[in-house]
Amino acid sequence: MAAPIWQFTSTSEDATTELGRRMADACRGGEVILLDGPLGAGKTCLAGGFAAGLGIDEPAVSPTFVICRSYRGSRGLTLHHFDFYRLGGEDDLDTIGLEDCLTDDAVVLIEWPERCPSLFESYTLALKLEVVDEATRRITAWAGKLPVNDGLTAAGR
Amino acid sequence: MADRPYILGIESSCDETAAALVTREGRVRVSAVASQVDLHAHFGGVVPEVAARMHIQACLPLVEEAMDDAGATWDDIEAIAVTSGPGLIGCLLVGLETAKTLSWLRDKPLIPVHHLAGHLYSIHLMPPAGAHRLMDKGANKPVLPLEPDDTEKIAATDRAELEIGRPQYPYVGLIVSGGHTSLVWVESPTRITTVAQTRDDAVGEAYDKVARVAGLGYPGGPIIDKLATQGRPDAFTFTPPMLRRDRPDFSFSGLKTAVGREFEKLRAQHPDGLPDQIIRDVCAGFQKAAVEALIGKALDACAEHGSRDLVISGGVACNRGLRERARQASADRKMLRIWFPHPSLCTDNAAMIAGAGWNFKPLPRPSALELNARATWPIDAIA
Ligand SMILES: Nc1ncnc2c1ncn2[C@@H]1O[C@H](COP(=O)(O)OP(=O)(O)O)[C@@H](O)[C@H]1O
Ligand SMILES: [Mg+2]
Repeated sequence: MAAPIWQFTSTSEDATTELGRRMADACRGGEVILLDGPLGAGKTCLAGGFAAGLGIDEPAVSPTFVICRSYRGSRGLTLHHFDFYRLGGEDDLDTIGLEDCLTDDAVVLIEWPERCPSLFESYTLALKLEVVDEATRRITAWAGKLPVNDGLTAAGR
Repeated sequence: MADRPYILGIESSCDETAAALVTREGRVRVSAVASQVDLHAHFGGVVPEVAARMHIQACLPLVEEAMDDAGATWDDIEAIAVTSGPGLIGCLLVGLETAKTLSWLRDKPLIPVHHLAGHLYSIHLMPPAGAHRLMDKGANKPVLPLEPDDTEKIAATDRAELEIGRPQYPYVGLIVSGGHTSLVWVESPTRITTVAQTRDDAVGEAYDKVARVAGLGYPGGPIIDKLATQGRPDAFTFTPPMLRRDRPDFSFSGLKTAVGREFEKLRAQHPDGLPDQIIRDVCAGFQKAAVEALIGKALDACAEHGSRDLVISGGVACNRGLRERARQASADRKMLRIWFPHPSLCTDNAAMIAGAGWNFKPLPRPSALELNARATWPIDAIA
């Protein structure tokens, strides 16, 4: 794998939320961001900050049960928050409507992307969240084939 | 007691495909359920593609089975009630399209029902067998909303103590399942407002995720409940999430994370495999904290609303630790009665949809065909 574009050490839930918010601020639509990491790594927490950054005023509840939750933000961008925790594999991608969500006025976040490896062929950023200790998370970002703007490059530096 | 007509109920929002026939009075004539749990256990969760296909295979045969078992003809069917949300969109669509087709073919009114309104209504139904439970002044009693027409279907030990009664509107409801953790104020079967919800993971989801990290299998709720009863609740203590007044909502991600980390730590200490007793103890500690958060918030809501009744429904309402904690709470709060539907009506079923359906207005025919499934649907919006 290529070198990461940034690595961010978060020492609190709020810091992870803030990182999500900064990333959202930089998004212009069309971004696909993969959130990889074990249970409790802070994927949904980061998505919550991201939602706030897009001007969504309800909490980003875990989408595990319904696979995808969509919200319209006050900046005109829609957030599609996917969770592939319960997916069996690639075959399921057709039935959950991911294709329809990849539009210019939407940002797609995907938790547990490793359930569908083909996702790794086309994304904006892949984030890996690691649990260091109780309150510390190491969050590393790699750029994918989709263009990464300066704001996203700076968000975790 | 009129045995007919029935509402035919259809439910397919998640793991279960179900069909049921329920009378206007609330007697469940038949409640047929086909569960995909065994299948999903293999993957550790619901697989939407497979789930939708299984719903398609199960749905019509279940309707036929329900009609046959009841010896019912289409003349006995007053209307068709169907879960139109919330849930997995691909799964919901199967039940909804089946219901629409039958409604059109058989010329029956169609009634869309909110899944959670169904869960709340279970306590007003007569289960096909067995009784609901009422926690009152520290006692755990069998209870039914109507006089049973066949006492044979009630366990012999319950027959003598059986009470007839039901919660009186308005009251507080708590719906707990794999996808929902909602505290609501119930003014009528159709007027329900949200008091609190989870801001991250649902309680059943936390059970499933903890079970998966612990390598215990799926679904996590019943497995952890069983292990917890064999464990010591104070060997590992976890903080019950947010019993803070300034944060009205539930939160289970912190607890899930703490328990997951504890398992990892213990696994590192026991490279040859975790002793069973340690697993039971961690499960007991987790269950204690989860149950405390649920009951604590529910009791607060009852106090704030001056509610005499609390109804707890949804799959997690089968949890024995939760029922026992509720019984204890009823000993301290003598004015409060806590109701649990029979387990067969707590987990997903179509009887609750048919029963609740009697209270909703059917759709006029042209709009029935245009009815859409809603993956998300705030319960406050149904009235
Ligand atoms: N630095 C941190 N960043 C994010 N979450 C943290 C941090 N430290 C502790 N936590 C806790 O970890 C949990 C993360 O939960 P969640 O976001 O649901 O994880 P995931 O979605 O990855 O399973 C929360 O309970 C949060 O309070
Ligand atoms: Mg999550």
